[in-house]
Amino acid sequence: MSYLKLVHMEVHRFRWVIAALMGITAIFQFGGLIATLASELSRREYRLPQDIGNSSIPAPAPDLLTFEWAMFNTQLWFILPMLLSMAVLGLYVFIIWYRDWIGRSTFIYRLLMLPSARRNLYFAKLTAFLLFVFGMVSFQLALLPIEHLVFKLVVPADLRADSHIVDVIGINQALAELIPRKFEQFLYSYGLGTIVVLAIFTAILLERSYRGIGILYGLLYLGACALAVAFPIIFLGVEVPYTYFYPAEVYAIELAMCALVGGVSVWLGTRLLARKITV
Amino acid sequence: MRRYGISILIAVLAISGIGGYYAFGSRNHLPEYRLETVQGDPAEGEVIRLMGSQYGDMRSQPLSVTSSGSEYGGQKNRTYRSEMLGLGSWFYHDPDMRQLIDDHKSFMRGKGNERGFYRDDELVIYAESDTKNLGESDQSSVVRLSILRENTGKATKFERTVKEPPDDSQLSVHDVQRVGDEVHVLFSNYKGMGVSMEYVVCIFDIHTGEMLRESILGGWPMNEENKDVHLELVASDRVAAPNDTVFIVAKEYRIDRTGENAGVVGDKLSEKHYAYSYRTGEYAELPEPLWQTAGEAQRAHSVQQEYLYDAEYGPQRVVLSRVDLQTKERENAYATVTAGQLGADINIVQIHGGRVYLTTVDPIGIPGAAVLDLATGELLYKGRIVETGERKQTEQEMIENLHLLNLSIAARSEG
Repeated sequence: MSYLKLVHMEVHRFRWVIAALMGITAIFQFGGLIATLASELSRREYRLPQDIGNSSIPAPAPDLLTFEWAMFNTQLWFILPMLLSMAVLGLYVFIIWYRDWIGRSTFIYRLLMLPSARRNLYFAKLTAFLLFVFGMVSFQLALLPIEHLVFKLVVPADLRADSHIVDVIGINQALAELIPRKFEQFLYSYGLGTIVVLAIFTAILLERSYRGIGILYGLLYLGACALAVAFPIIFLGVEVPYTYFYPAEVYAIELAMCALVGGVSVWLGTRLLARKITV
Repeated sequence: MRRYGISILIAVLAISGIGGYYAFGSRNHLPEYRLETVQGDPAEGEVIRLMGSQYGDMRSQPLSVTSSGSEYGGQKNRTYRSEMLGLGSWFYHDPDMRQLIDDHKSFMRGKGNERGFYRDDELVIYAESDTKNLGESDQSSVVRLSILRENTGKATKFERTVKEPPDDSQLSVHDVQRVGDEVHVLFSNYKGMGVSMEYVVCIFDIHTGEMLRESILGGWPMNEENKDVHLELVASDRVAAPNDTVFIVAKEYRIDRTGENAGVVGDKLSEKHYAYSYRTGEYAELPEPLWQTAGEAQRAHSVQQEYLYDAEYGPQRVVLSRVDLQTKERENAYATVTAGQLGADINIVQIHGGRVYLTTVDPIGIPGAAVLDLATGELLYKGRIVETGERKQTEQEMIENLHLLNLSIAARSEG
């Protein structure tokens, strides 16, 4: 079975969960947005002061409502489904491996017996997981214009003003972290996240290879990876002129350590899968 | 293909959503600006960086504008790279420090106090202080000197104790100068855990590092129950450049130390000016102050080679005065530039590298900048902010949203 077929298999197995997460996200966000707008429009209709019936709204409404204001006042409705999605995806880093061992049938034996390189299995699980993460981020990005449209449908034209999508994302604490303003920062954030996933995959495979003592190996490996990535920042300093290394050198060392941790994790993970885990 | 529809769909969603946002969705987010030359030599305006904020519906964005364009800052525009490269650090912005790092990368490692550097045609000297056993009975203060001979590349290091136990000093290096075969290091000294402050000049032999003597610079009123003394050291704006004279301005303010207004600084009670010459070691209070503060006028001053320059300014004029450091001869108001001559009100004035830099606001509210020759007050450059890029505001929106309140000089190291 080829790598792409394995990727599809992983996506297919998780499709209902990802669909459910998308559905919950959409329901929460549209519900929160419409409720907030309806409440504010109702307040205006009855000429109530800002603090009557709107105690949950943290920012007073401007004369002309903006999508940015609406986003600021519906933070919780946006953050909750995002946290849920993150928690589910965080758990799935482990489930994506353990469900093959622990289930009604030991599916991993069939996968390991496939007449193709075992590393395909490793990369397929990684690819599928990243597709889920980026798929959820993109789904959120796709929701925003639709939510903006809903905002325009609910709020009369003479009561609203335009907002730029970057301001809308920036005003929401969770979205601002999830979708950094600069693409370069996006690469750093999600690149670091990918390295974390690779390290956890390797720790799982250490546990699967050595069982009881493998848990200790896995934890030690994760600790070593964290130390390696944090070492340049903690011990060499960032933005501190008194340190021996120049900032560009610390930056290069940090990139090298990330690449090293990622590379060693892939090498060790695929090696364990190919040689240590037996059927 | 249909069989793989769900995988293709999620892959297309992932790539198109993120790619589309960063390629198209995030464009034209904020207006772009540039400092455009109105009059004079554009090269004079190239070193100017105007800093402030762009106001938005709910938040403002910090930005800086130069003749090349505008750049938005703030937490949301940062990346790990910009944070790690110390792009926000003044140390790496200082043109003299950048030049020293370019010329002597190895020597400059681990040296971060820009006020601890001295450079002439032969030597680079770096001094830093350290307190050993802080708070213990055997507390002492040491200075570490690093001396690099530029022609041979040979560096010499010394560590010398400058305050023996019992010591309650906290020394901090403020200036380093060379006089012949001596290194003069000017420290601020917070004695008794910051209760009082004096300046100390320690003089070391350049060959052996031995401390030869010290001079205490003080004599101003001490902090009292209801009085607070503020000290200002006036030296060259180029921290590593050779310079013979420094001035100390001691201002005494009324202050309440208890009650509701505890810590609130009140009226100024007195102002005294002192001068110290590294070459002669002479230190004295000046018989008449370097400048007279009048009304709401603000000041900028700087030691530039043989003169101490003073710019007294307000929205309507900047008045330049200077004192010859050798003869102590004063030239009060040797040049005056008015808002009328600039066609704009004056906001902030800085003296740097033989120039006077001004931020301005024209009568309709558009910010700009101007550059004067420090020696003559001649107007060398005048510029105003213009909007560039695809996203355009109306002039009124620009005036309401763009607030440039500060000025930095990016890279002028000559002069």
